[in-house]
Amino acid sequence: MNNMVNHFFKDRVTQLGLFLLLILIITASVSNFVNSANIQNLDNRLLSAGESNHLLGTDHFGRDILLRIIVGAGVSIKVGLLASTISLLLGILLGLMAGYFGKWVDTLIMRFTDIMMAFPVLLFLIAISATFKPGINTAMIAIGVVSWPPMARLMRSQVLMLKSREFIASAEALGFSHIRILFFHILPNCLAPIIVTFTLGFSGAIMAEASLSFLGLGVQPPTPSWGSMINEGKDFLRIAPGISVYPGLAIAITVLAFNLVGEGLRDALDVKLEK
Amino acid sequence: MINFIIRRILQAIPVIWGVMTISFLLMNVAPGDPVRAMVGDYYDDSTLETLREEMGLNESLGMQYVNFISNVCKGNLGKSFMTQRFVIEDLKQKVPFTLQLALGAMLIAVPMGILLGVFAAINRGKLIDRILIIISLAGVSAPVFWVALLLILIVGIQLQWLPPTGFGGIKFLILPAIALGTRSMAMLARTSRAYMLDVLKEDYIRTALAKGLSQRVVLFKHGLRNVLIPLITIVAADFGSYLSGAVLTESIFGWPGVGRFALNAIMKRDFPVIQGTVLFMALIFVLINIIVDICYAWVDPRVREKMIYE
Repeated sequence: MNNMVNHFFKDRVTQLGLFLLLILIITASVSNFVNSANIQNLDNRLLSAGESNHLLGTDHFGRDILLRIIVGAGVSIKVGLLASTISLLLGILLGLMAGYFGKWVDTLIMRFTDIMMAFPVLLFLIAISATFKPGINTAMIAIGVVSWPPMARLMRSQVLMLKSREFIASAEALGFSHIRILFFHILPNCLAPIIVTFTLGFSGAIMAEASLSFLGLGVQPPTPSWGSMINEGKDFLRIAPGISVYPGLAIAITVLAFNLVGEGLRDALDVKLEK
Repeated sequence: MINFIIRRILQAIPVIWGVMTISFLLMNVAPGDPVRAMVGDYYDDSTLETLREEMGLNESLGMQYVNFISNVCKGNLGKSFMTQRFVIEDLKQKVPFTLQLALGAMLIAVPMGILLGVFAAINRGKLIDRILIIISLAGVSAPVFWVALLLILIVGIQLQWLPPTGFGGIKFLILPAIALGTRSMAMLARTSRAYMLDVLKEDYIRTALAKGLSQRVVLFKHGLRNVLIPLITIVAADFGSYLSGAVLTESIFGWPGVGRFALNAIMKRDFPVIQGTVLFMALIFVLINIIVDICYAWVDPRVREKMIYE
């Protein structure tokens, strides 16, 4: 255990990821206290970085880009957290059931998983968001509902591996209920891969939200979201590229941070994920 | 082998049925009246009723489902609300453009990705390896649409080497293809590096080196060849991400393919087109997976046995 923790925290690349993640979490927590991100000032339109106290400049409404990025961090983290929690719960539940009960339950759930995986993710998300009312809640739920299949597959394979172990057989012999065995004996033994998949899923959810918002189907204006900021800025690419470039950088750094930490965890916990 | 192919195709049938059912449900749980969405703000009740009758919306949901499935099986994906054209006809027209873009992206991503990965693996632990690792991680983390805008900004606007957006000859294809391929190139570099490192540990590599073969022959003939086989599945799985990425890339570069077609339909709430396109893309994806599995089983008999055993 100590070894694992050491391995995780000593790795240079993981350290970088943790550092970036820390900055992100701090930014997201202060974002609730920023209430001037939507203040428009048309006299200060399209300022470039550093002009009149706007560190990253202003957009076409004269809004401060840095402030909007800070608020956007909060939005991204919120969507990422809720969406990946939804997919985590769905994936765990379905995967546990498929692996544990086997037979027709397994066939049914795994076929459903195959079907879900046949849809190109983004197009599926777009269709769902367009069908219902586009917005932050729709985006969160849609991302969660669409991205559980990898988790379900992972859980299933874990359960299949654990099911033949002695401690499960003895739990069954003692007459424990299915629920007790599933949630108190099998689930705790799958924590490592769950943590890794959750971390990597988080970055996927943030990327998905950004893509949806970029297309105007995610977070709706005037709430700042990194994706929609890039979209708004693309018409000003020639004269004020910063409006699009900085939020994109924020997405890339955030996703990178989660990927680095996720991979650090994977190596430290020695988890082998299915390709 | 024939046995395997038949099994694999049979296996896909429930998936295809499921894909159709979900597409049907998606549009039928949509809040609001599709006929009103179609006619817009100005209508009278008798027109609505006629249209409903024409579109079969007065039938029971079960009947509509049966009609939908039988139409799809006949290759009829419905008519656009806006243009009244058959969705399948429009798709036929747009697909070649998306294929062009996807192939362009692949042509850039696959050789470059594998080459970078193998190069990093050979130089494991050296500075160049670390730099490549960081670049590939950045490539995986950067959103497609942002990469696209950066390319437009730097190559198209500032350097003026290529047209920033639009459609035409090969000059117009390069930037969107790079944008679409970046992520998959980065992923391939990472995977092929990992595979190559595994392969380099194998006994047959040591044997080959021990019997005095040159390093280059060992790396490319013995090493690379064994890396390429598992990479087939990854390249194919990426094709799905190309279809998704095409929505973003095509809309940014103004490329007239399926992605932009779908996005336009979504903006106009043209439900039959959305439904048809999603269904079409999912079916293509299923088809590609079947072909890949067959190719994979063909080159690697172990896969074949495993599947038949299961």
